[in-house]
Amino acid sequence: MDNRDRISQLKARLSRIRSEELEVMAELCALEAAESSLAAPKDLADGKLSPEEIRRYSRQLLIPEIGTRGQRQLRDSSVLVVGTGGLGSPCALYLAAMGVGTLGLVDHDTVDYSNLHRQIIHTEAACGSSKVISACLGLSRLNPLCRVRAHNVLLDSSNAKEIMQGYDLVVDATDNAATRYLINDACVMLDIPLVSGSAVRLDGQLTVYNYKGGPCYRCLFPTPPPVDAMASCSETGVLGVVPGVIGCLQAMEVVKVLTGRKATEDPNLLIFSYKSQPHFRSIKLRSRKPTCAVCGDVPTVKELVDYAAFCGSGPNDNAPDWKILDDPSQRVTCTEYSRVASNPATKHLLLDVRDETQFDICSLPNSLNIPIDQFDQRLAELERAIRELDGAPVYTVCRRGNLSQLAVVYIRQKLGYGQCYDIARGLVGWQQEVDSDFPAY
Amino acid sequence: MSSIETGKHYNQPASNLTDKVPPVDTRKYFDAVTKSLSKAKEPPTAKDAVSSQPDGSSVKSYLHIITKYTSGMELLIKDKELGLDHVFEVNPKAAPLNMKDLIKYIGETHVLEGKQSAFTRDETICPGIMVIINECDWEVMDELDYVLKNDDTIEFISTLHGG
Repeated sequence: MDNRDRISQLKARLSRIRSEELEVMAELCALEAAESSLAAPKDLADGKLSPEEIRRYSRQLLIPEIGTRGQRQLRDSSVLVVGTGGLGSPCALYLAAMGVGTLGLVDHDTVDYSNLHRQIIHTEAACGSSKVISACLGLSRLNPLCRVRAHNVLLDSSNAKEIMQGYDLVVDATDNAATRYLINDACVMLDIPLVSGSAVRLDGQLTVYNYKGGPCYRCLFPTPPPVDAMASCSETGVLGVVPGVIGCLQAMEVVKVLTGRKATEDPNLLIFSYKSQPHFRSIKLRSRKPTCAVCGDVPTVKELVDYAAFCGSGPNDNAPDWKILDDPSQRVTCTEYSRVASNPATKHLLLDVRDETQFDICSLPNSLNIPIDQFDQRLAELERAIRELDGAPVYTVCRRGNLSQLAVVYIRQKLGYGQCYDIARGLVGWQQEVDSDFPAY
Repeated sequence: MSSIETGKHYNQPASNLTDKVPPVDTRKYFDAVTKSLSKAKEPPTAKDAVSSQPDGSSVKSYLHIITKYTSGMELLIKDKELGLDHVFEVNPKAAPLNMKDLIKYIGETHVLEGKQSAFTRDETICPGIMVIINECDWEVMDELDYVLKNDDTIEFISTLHGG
């Protein structure tokens, strides 16, 4: 057998092992879920660190701020990490590595290929598998001393308190406003401190809420922002390391809360930006607001509510499908457009209205890119392109078929050109209906 | 390209600009000059502006304010500015400029066309945007009624939800 054969044999074996590992973990998690109780087993009567623990955590034990006292505090604590994505991945990995005794993980999602650049607890082999199982596997490799409880569910008003009850601390590593309000309110009701992080594009934020007279999330943001002002990673992108930075800092804040250090600090909001110099800034925050709806002196929110309704958008970070064009005759399906495009005799204009960055990633052949935000500025160019059509149709396209509808409205109403249609479901639809080789992003 | 632009005389309805000057001028400021913080080598300062008026009787009053935009707020600002440096020529006979005036001015003058509704709502800042006055949450500083002081730095930060 020559070297090359051996290499491919070994690679195949490795990928077999990797998928087998996931299967084993899934069964193990299911069995352990039925068995385990949250309370840490106190098999060491005096609570002292075992020789194994001393060896593993020795570099941390050498720091006076942690020492054996701090290490035992970490070991005897339980932390719930909600979300095992960009923030939850590094946060959970560090919490397990540093010796937090019990770690709960909540996620209902499965691993997607587009998660891997930032959600570093997951591996390529786990694509399509449950995130929670994949995360448990990552943690079990790192530190078997950490007891991990997997909650493979979507956290909502019906289960949040039951799941969160009993944890010493909750980490908000989620990706949407509705779940952030839900976690905040449940933490206030259960009197659990909340380490909250968030990251989008090139920016991140970090705060500890509901801790020692400090504010809760609602004290700062009593009203949810308008739906269209909320940026999500799936829509606006995120640099892989940015949630990594914030997730690591969340793990650090957890250590500070569990060892008592945090009690000496005033409430603050840490702001991180790739662009600013220095990268970090700390903003002094108000203390608890006596008039807060949930943590105030006379709370009006005493039970968990419908947070999707409260925020106007549900617990996911995907863009909603807009319905702007009421008249279905102003829309064509991807399949219908593919017939137009495949016939060279059919004169038409394919107008791609995404921004240049997205157009650069991938585009359909022979498309003209004028981002919808630039329609006013580039009006002459747009009008010229339409004039050259001699009445032939314009098809507008974008990523999902949302902005392309606005473009149809613009061209029909502002430019008075009736031969204008939007390609419903956009390039995502094109990839699913017409050309599976077309890149999805 | 010049990064200096002249602000609107916004407290006065546009039609008044061509009409005769009203007997009592209630405008809070007459003019506003803004530079980009990132582009300007020497931002205008109130001190410079005042010292250029040697005649004591006709000394104009200036107010120098820095505004900053972070965590995605810069995407609402023309030219995606991270920071702007403003000098207002204020009217000493009118009420002093407060945060309400500043938010209105920024919304009308520096926020992108079509994005105003993501910046201001009901004469205040949109929910989800934190306002920081000199490194401090504005909720501990009178919010809209906070009277602007020379060299104040006002920062607008949008809350992030992603992860």
